[in-house]
Amino acid sequence: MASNELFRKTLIQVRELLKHNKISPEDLLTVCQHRMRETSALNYFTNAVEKHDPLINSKIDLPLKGIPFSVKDNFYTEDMPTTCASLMLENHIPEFNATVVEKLHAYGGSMMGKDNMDEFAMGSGGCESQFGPVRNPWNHAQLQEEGNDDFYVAGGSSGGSAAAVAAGATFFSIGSDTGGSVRVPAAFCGVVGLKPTYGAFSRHGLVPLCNSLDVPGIFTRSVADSAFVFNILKGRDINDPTTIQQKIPNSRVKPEEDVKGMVIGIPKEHYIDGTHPDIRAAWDKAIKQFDDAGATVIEVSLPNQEYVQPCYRILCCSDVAINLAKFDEFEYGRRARHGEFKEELKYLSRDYGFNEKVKRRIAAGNFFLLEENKEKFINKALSLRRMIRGDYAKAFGAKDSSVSPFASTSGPLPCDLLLTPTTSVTSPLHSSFTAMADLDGTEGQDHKDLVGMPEVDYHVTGINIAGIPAISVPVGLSTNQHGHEMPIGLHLVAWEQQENKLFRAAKFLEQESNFHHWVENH
Amino acid sequence: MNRWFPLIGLEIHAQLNTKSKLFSNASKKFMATPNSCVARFDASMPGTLPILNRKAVELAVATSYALNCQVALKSSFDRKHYFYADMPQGYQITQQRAPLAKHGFVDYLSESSKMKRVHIHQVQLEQDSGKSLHDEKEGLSLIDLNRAGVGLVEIVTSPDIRSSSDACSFVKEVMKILQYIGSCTCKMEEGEFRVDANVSVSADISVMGTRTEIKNINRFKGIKQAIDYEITRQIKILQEGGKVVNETRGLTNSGETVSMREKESAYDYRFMPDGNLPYLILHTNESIGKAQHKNAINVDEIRSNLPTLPSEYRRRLQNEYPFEKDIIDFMLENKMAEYYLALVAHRPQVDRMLTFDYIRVHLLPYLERKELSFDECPLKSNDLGDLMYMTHSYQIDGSICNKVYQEALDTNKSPVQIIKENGWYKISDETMLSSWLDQVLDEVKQQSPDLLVFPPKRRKLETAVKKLTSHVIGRIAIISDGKAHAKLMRMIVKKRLDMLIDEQREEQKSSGASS
Repeated sequence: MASNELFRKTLIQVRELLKHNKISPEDLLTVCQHRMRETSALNYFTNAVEKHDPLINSKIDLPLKGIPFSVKDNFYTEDMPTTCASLMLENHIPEFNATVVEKLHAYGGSMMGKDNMDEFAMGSGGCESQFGPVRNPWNHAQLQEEGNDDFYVAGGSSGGSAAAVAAGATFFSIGSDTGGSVRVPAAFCGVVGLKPTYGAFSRHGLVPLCNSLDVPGIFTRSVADSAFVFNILKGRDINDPTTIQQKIPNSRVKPEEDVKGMVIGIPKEHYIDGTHPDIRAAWDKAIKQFDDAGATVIEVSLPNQEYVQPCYRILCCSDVAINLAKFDEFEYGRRARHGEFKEELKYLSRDYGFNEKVKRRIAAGNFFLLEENKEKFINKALSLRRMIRGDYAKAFGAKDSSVSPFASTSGPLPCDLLLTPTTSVTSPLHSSFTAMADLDGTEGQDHKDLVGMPEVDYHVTGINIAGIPAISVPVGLSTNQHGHEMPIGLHLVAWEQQENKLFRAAKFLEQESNFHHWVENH
Repeated sequence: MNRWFPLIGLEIHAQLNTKSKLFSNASKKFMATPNSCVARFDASMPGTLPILNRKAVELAVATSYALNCQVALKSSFDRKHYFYADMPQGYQITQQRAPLAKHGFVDYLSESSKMKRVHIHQVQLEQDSGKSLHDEKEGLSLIDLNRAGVGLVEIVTSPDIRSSSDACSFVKEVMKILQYIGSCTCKMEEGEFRVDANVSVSADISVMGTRTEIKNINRFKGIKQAIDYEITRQIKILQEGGKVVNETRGLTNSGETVSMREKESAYDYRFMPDGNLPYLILHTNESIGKAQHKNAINVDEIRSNLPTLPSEYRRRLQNEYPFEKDIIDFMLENKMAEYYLALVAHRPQVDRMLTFDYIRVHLLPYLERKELSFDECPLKSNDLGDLMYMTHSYQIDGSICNKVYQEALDTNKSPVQIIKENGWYKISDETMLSSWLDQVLDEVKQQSPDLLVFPPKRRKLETAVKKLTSHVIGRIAIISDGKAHAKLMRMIVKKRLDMLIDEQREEQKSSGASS
């Protein structure tokens, strides 16, 4: 097999090749390293691993032996910088591995690098990193040839993780998803992005954004790959009390999946203005495919969908204000400036160390937390959270003690899954994203971050608030006004701990859409 | 002049008697090298998460039941924000919204021996803070995180207390309770037990005045000092027509309270649920079977295993003997009640006060020296009971008692066995002793009758009696082969001689009168 074809394979495929000694772990490493050099302009790593573990040569048969992967730079890696793409943690070298990193090492995986990201995981474009923005592999070469230095954004905040997998530098990567940070970049970069049930994966060693919403997620090139990595990472961790205590069963994906008898809910609140017609068409097409395959498609309602963003912003900012308080250069973070007094030093260092968005969220969080604002913001957000989760519980006909002790359904049938687009637009050019997200800070517009960007986060954030799993699957391409084809992602949602249903339907979508354009177009 | 009514509520912070901290596995040692007991979580390393200490929860549940509280089967943790360097997370984990337990009470005996009741508002689990040390000479601030994250129970009372002496009696009772159930050793000098006092005064007994909070009282005497000082200070302000400011005050070494933070009344802790900690779910006998967690805690089990509490011992001791309050307090403080009660149950004939004194003077110092509890005492209560019984019933000589006691401690033999082996049993039967005395007195009458003539001709009465007594006792010892109980024998001899003297005096009187 020509080694330059290797990077186009999926994890499952290269495992087969390794198993039958068609290739060696060194071949994989060489191919990925070559790929990393070729695509270094995409800026998906903050730090690359120089030396690789000799374990890849050992005889022991480990499930991930020799498989290259990468990890978002907010996961602790022993003896390797963990920067959160911030000046504040430029030289921060942890003394232990995050549990997910530890597991991947233990299973024989080979870490290639730390993925670039939005600073402290705040962002949806992958553009707000102190290492510079991540570039989407899609159409990057074409733009360069056209002499255009603009590029498509990778999505965020786990942009580097998505781009690394899409570019063929690694076979899978780990990101973190607090309000869509895995699924949005997966949709933008045309890869599979899984956000599992809250507590399915350990957060130990993940620098927190919002503790009650954060969850590690997986980027892969296929649904089967995603299930494979899911089975490795899931499970209780004594170092994380929020991990699910019961045993989580393994998920299996058959070579061909059918969805006969499944009930697919289409939440009516997710038909929104501004959805790209190609995305709308892809969604309709998928609905038809499910219908044709014997699934029952019904309309459902998530009446509190409009409160998702306010609820998310309040909970997230409040935790940000607290979680980042320790980065004051006395406890953690670099001493950037010299001042005379402790408070002055803190001020100068924090002012220098954090970007504008981070500072804005800290300020907003401190505001929400004020005693006088407790009723107005925090307590409201907490009850909205129960209401939003309640909507999902209803749609899935789930018994949920935090909402109601009785199972209830909004429609005639409890759903197995919900289906929406992942984003309402395909990846925009960096120049237009900057304008959209108002990163250049137009006067009077500087609260954009506090209301969210409906184009990218409308469909995804409620899932984190409900604590349930979702997956983004690439299903096709959309040709934009510049004549570039960009991937479209669809979003499947299940009730908690029903990842097996997600994988089954995602696999069905994958086989129906026959999406395999991911590398050829780069 | 108005009469002023003080009202006092207390917040007690007691360090839980666990090996490790509340949320980390760092050990908890007093006076360890600074920063040697610090886990990653205690230093707030990013990405580390709190793991709740099961033992701490069990102790807090036991404490709650001992304080007659209702334990919540579902409680939660909140973050209370302070930005101090000795609080590295920027917040303390506590239980504000849904505490572990509520609605309890403690009955205690006031100094005037009246039973009084203080209501417990709530009991919650929380973290202790680290320590900041300021070296003013060097201009340095040093931080020791050894104490950061140590588990505390905070016990919040209702404002039910009317005087500093009641506050002290109540605190003493709480300390005893915590010590009895083993949840806290309550060593104030090691910072394990600290008290905040909320004090207000009012001219109207039914109205509560503006209160001040005296924080961190860390010596027992300080409780009385702080409350008395604060009551006097507030009355003075009110009498002069001023207003008491709601503020936090500290206690100086000289026993005065001083304002700590002027803006305290406006201090905003900005409470927020802690997203890193799931609900603390506790189980009952019914629900334990359905628990998802192997480590699930059954509160019914904790409640039924609670040791006997000091109030119950007090009741039993009072029923047992009309001891004075101080003696009962002494017994409770030194945890000797159980031992004592078992002893008297085994040998109800013993003298109560003599037995208490024997334990206080001999056994207690021994146990303290060896750092043993009464449970661990090598001399079991039954054995000491036997020894006390044999001593008090004159089966052995009093002088032998200590010897037997010492040998029993040294050799682990029972006193009964020791006495038997050494032949230390004495005859205490009065008929037997009297017959020996008759025998000896007959001897004396025949050999030197002068000795029995009173008043003696050439000696003082006392000298003669003394000489005769020792002669008689010496002879009895020989005749009885040393088996006569010395003390009892001496008493019988004295009684007989006194009788003889009186008889002769009567005779002389009557013969004198007749002549």
